[in-house]
Order: sequence, then C-alpha cells, then structure tokens
Amino acid sequence: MELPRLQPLYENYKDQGFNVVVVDGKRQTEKAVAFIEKHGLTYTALENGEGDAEVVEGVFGVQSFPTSFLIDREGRVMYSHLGFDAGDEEHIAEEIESLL
Amino acid sequence: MKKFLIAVGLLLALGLLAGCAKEEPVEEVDPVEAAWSDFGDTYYALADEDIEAKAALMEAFVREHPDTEYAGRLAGGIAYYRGESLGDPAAAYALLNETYGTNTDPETRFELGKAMFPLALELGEPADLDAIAQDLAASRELDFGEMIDVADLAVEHEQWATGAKYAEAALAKATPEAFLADYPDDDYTPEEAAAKADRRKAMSYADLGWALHNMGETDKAMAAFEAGAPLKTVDYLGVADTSIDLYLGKVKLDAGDADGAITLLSPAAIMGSNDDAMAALREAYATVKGNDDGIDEWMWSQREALGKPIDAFTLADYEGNEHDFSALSDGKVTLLAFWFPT
Repeated sequence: MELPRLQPLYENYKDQGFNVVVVDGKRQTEKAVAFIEKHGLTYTALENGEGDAEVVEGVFGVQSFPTSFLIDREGRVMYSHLGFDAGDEEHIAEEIESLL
Repeated sequence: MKKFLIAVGLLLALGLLAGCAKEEPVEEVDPVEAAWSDFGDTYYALADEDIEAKAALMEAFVREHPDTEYAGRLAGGIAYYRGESLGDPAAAYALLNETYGTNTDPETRFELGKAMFPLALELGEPADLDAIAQDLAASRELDFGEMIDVADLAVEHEQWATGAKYAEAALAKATPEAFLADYPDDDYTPEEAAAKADRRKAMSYADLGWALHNMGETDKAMAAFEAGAPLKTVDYLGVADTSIDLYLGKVKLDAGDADGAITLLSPAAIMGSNDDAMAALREAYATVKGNDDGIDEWMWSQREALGKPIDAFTLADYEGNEHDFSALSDGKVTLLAFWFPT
C-alpha cells in the first residue's frame, strides 16, 4: 500500500525537476500492473531483469522492500529509506526540498 | 500491454470461478474463511490513511473470531494502529488480552503475546515475554526467526535478561545446517548458506552485546560485539544491515569515546534516516563540540562525503520499452524505490 504515497510527492515537485522511478523487485508483472492501474500511479514503473539483467539485489543489494534512494541532481545517493509509514511523506518532502 | 495483462488476469479469475461452478458440486464454504475473505476485500478498499476504519475492522474481526489463527495475524495491526497510531493502548491491550485468554492455539497465542507485550509494559500490566515464548516452546522447538524476534523485542523494550537469553539461543541456531533446515525446498549453495548463517550470527551478537552491556557485563558485551562486527554486511550506502554499529556506537558514547561513536553512528543516522542512531549521533556531536549548534551543516557535509554516485542500469517498463536510468534522472532529483505488489 506504500507506493500510492509517492504519487502526491511526484505531482507536487515534478515541475521543479523531481522524478520518481519505481522498480518491481520480484517481477510480479500482473499484480504490479493491476496495482499501478488501480491507484492511478503516473510515474515511471520498471520491472527488475532476470539473470545477468537482474539489478535490484545484484547491483543495489536490496533484499527488503520497500527500499528507496533519494538521488541529487548530480546523480549521488543522498538518503536511503527502508519502508514508507504513514507520515514519512512529510519527512521525504523535506529531503526532496533540501535537494531541489 | 497493461490492458492486455489485466484482461488476462480477469479471464483467469473468471475462468476459475466458472470452472468451480460448472464442474464441482457446490462446496460448503467454511464461514471463517468466507469472513476472512470478506475482511480482505473490505480492508483493501479502505483509504490508506483511514486508520480508524482499518483498526475498527480488524477489531471487529478478532471479536467475532477470537479462536482462529486470524486473531494472531491481526494482533500486530491492532497493536500498531489502535495502540500506537491512534494512541489508545488500553483498548488494544484489552482486546488482545481477552483473546489471548480464550485462544488455545500456541502459534496464535505467540503472535498475540508479542503484540500485547509492549502495550502491557506501557500500561503497567503484567508483561513477561519469556513466558510468552516458553508457551510456544512447550509445543515445539522455536526456530531462528522466532528467537531473534523475541530477542529484538526484548532489547527494544529494555528487558535485558530476556534479550540476552534469546540472543544466545538464536546464536546457537545461526549455523548453515540450521539455515538449510529452515528452507528445505530451496537450493542454496554451501557458500550462500554460510553467508546467511553469518548474517544470523551478526544479528544475534548485536542483541547479545547490547543486552549484556546494559546488564553491566561489559567484558562479555565487548566480546560479543567483537565477534559480530566482522560478520556484518553494509548496504549500498554503507549502512550496516544489523544494529551492531548503532549499539556499539552507543557503547562508545557511554565510554566517553564520542569520536568513535560518531564514526559508527553516522552512516545509519545521516544516510539511513535511523532515528535512534540520529539521537545518539546528536549527543555524540554535542559532546565533542560543546553543543549541537551547527549539526545540520555538519551532517550535510558528511552526506556529501558519504553520498555515492548511483550505478547505471537499464530496465524495461510494462510496455516493453527499455529505460536507461541515467536518462530518467538526468539533472533531476530522483526518488528510486524498490517495491513489490502485495
């Protein structure tokens, strides 16, 4: 249920140069597509690869979901978060504003 | 592509239902299973932020079906939403305690007991986590996950003797053989099983060291931390995947080594947004500087030093179009989130 929390953040800040990219770590294509459709998520949703193209665990070492990274305009990872609880949006919004 | 997949999903669901109707005699649907299914439909239709409605729905289900395994599955949610988010621990405790008293399944009682325990502490009610765990252990041997759960919960709530007891028990289960026995159907190489066992050891040593430190067993605590530290692994940003750096950082702070504490606490506090590490880091910083004025600027400089360039990657969206992440994030502030649908 956490992903819909990112939609208002995306809409609030996208015109100031903010983007959201989500990656389904478990390749549950049908469930993911249905979820994205149901919640009206309009940011970029990608699917993890398989074998040599797998990136979520292989490149980023992510084994717990949801995990997120906030990346600055120069491409540096400046914050990481494990989970999104109710209320975390405010905290993340402050972090986004600190980088914009 | 999206519409196609949804259509396939719908066809499958309808097909299965149609199949049931045509070929199977009408089966008696278990009323508890039917109620659970209804519960799920109603719950997921609620607005994410409507915590009152979520809590009330869970409470109603548990009141109606206190003697089912679902009472255990909902216990944590009731404790969290009613007890914490909505600030009514007495109401959450009353329902869970009543259910604990009537439910006879050891597995369910274990879940109820763990959920009740922090509420009982807060309310000054009897709270014996060791007894809750022993109740389940009387019916079967606890596995590693259960032992470390109990140890984590005990340490979080400063029940040091219980924390040390279950951390030691977890350590005894932190072997490749025990790991493989937990996952008999999966194919792990000996190296993978050894790595998983090391991670389990690191988790156990972190709780054990912190519990022993708080029991005044300083030397034994340091021995546990020294055994655990080499086994920890760090994430993409250098944040340890167990609490060992947090606990050892706090030990160093207690011992007057504020610089050592800052080194250990910084990754989790600054990059990992860990509130406990942040509180201890603030204290360590104030110890070194005399006060915590300027900590925000200092943290920012640390973030710039610790922040690493994100690796390049290319993945496809659900319509099959390949996206190069560097093109999506070029010149922008980007939130990259890894998730899976539930």
